[in-house]
Amino acid sequence: MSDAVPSDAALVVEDLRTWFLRGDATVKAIDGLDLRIDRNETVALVGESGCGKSMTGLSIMGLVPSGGQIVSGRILLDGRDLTRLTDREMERVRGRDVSMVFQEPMTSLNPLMTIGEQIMEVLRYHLGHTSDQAKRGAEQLLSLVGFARPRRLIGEYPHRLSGGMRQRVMIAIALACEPRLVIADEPTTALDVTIQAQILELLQELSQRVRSAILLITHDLAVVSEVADRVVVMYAGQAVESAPTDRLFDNPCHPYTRGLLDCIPAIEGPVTRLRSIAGSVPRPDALPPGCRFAPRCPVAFDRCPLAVPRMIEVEPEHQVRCYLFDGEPGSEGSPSGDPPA
Amino acid sequence: MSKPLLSVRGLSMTFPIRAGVFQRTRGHVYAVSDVSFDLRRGGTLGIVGESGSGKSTLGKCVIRLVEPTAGTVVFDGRDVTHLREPELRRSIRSRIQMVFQDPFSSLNPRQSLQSIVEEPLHVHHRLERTERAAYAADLIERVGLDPARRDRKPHEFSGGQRQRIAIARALALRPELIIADEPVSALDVSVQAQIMNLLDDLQREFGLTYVFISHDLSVVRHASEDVAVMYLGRLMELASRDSLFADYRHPYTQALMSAVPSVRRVGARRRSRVVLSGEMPDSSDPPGGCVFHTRCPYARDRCRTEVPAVHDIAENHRIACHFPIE
Amino acid sequence: MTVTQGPAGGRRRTNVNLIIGIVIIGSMALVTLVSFVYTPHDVNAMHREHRFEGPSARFLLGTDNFGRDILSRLMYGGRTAFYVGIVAVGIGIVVGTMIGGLAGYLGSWVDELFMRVMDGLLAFPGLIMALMVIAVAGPGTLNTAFAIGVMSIPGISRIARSGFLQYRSIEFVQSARTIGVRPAVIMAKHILPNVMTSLVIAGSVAFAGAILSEAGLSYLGLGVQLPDPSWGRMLREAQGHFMRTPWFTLGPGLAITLMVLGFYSLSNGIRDAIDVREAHG
Repeated sequence: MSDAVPSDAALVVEDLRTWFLRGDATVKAIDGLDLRIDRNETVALVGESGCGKSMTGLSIMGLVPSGGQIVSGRILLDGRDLTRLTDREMERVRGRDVSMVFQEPMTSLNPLMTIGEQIMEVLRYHLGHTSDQAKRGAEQLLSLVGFARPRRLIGEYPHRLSGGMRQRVMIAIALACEPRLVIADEPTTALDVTIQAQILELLQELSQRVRSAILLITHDLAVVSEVADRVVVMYAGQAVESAPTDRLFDNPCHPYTRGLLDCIPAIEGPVTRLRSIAGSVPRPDALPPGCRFAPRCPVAFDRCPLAVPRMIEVEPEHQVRCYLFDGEPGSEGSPSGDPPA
Repeated sequence: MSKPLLSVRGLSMTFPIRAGVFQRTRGHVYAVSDVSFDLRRGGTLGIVGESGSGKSTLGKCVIRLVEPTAGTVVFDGRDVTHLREPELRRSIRSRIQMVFQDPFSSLNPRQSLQSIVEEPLHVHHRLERTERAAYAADLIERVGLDPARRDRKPHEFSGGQRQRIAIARALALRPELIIADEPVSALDVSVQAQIMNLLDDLQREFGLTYVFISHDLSVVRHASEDVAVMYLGRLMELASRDSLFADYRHPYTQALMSAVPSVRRVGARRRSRVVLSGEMPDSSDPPGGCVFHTRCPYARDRCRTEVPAVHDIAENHRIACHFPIE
Repeated sequence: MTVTQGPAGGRRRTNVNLIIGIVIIGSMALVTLVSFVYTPHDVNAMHREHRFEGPSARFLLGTDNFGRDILSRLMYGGRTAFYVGIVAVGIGIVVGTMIGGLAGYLGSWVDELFMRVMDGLLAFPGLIMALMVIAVAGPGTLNTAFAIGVMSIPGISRIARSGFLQYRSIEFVQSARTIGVRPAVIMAKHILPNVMTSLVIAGSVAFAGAILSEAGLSYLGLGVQLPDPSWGRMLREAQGHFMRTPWFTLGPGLAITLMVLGFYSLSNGIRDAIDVREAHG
């Protein structure tokens, strides 16, 4: 791999570490994450609660909660390192170059401002639109996200809208400045299935129509399979597998990914007893040594608890952090002198 | 067929909306309307629906946490619909238990694990103090927790472990019927499977009967023997699991099925699906006729005026639709 | 890799309010306790030759119009303040929690009835309410405390009501119902401990209010009666001689201010402590 940032990458995250220092304990929320999203691409970050996926979104936005900080790594948005920007500069980046759609559509809009005002505010602040321009822009955006009569909606207050409609408005606001990157953090989790289907359809459609890259953060592998081009599976602050969506589902390699897929009850096929992953996610302030999944892994062997495995390429664009695929034991220092056959 | 353990007939729950200075009734929310079903001992009825479908209220009516406004609930041959609270406590509470969705709010943060699990025994004066502790320890172990942690408070446990505690508490009185209201939706997928398997094992071991409420079709499919689909307080379709999932006849069930994202369908990604337009109407102002007609792709004139009755369409397959899918 | 401590650093900030509150209330309580065994002079002894004296080695805070030692009277007055505060807040918390708790948990007509009565109480200005009670029961320390306690019931009952209302529908309470726990036990065992923190905060605010009210009533001559010293009464006596002896007002004024400030600090401190605990889960 070359060091040069490929020109079609919208976002490159290198060796990101976001840690929380709490008295004597260090909580490693993100511990060495690499991530790349190309223009026009939708990448999904998947994992269970506490794996660091949401913290990744907040780190990119420069919104790490107090007590936490990015202790190392780079976040390159179009080649510009966001971790080096001042708070002032970051304010200009947020909403214009990177924007975010949150999980909870009921609390992410200001209840005292009309829908129109909230969209126009972004347009005026970041793009310097006049009132007229902003109004036209807001109407266009609302029709882009599927509202049939945007003009009528502009004067409405959020409480008049349902959860699904609000989430559409949030997406409109996120797209207002045609940002390089839209981060969608569990955008459909709070919605009903039939509404979720509508929003997923909208995201799919938009990912083809707008030029923004999309980082979809979710716990739901099924949602991922519907919209993402590429998937990064996270576990305990690290990426454990990264692959194009189809390949990940056809050929999951990491035991954790396989376990996750087995856990999901299917809507088709024979009903069998669900397989589950034993134990629970380790607490981020008490991570096991070596491979973090080792204590729960059904195929762990003596090498796993020794050191954290590196990401290994099993096929083009498909990487796994697992010793099972590490053909060169020498790279980590083989304990025995046995030469490979 | 033997006598059902639970038999619900024409159950409705309506509550008034009060507003304004004089708290006058401004309208009614029709949370549950005219729902009937039977549930055999040892069986599991899955109730599936979106938020606002009344599935939770239905469950709470059965366990009498909310008072139904019409209809009857017959439990083990006895009409419990209008039992007064003291009688309810004496003879029914110990036989029907509930597991709630959110394991963070369903456990009192100030109680220890042991006191949470023991409390039901204490309330019903079962066993002596020392026996209680041993019994609780057994239960705690049975649901997969370490009895050595019995003095810990709920916040020291993970979400999945808390749900195990809630299950142990529900089991303490050896109930016959358990209402599980979204028992796994607040949990991570890997933990979700553990809890579903636990519920499954316990059902077999203790001969439990479940009402399993969930918004997630795949979860309901795995947990249930019969499945009821609800929309806006009404029963849309009720059938055995296999016939519902293989041979659904209601347009709403069809839409619900096709809306479920699924990893097993990767090959057919970006397929055409029945995406319903619009959202569920307000339950204080349900549409006339069939409640689903405003979103139904096949609605005709009759659907707008006439409420479809729930009728048998095949053996063990009931549906409320004028024009079922063939 | 070395990690520098961040500005917030995740460390808990020192709870200044709590410390200030505890220090002030603690020392006031200590001084009051001391008055049971020792005061520099007899509380009611009149030193006629030393009227209107400024602070001196013999009379640390000076003397009043009868030549009584102000410091001794202040120390003794602390008893009145705490006595009135404890009785009043006790009445307020016990009755207010019962009324608010029943209204919040049972809802429907109980709620309607109790809260309308509370609204009725609230409609009278507090002092007029207290005046009414005193008019009926007569002045005196206990009656004053009782009147002030009655005054604080509506406020506390509202806080209790909202707490009980909030917990009524929470799932662990519903779970207790499905197990067959009786309503009284649910209220006492499952809800009250969780509402207690906000009641403690309300109680310490009410304590500050009670001390102010007692001072106000005594200042009007309706509260604590002669010869018991009370800060409000002292303030009233001092008022007539303010131009001649300003330090005479300073003592009781400062005592009231400190006590009120102390209780407000304490209530803020308790709130902060709870917020921190909840934020850290």
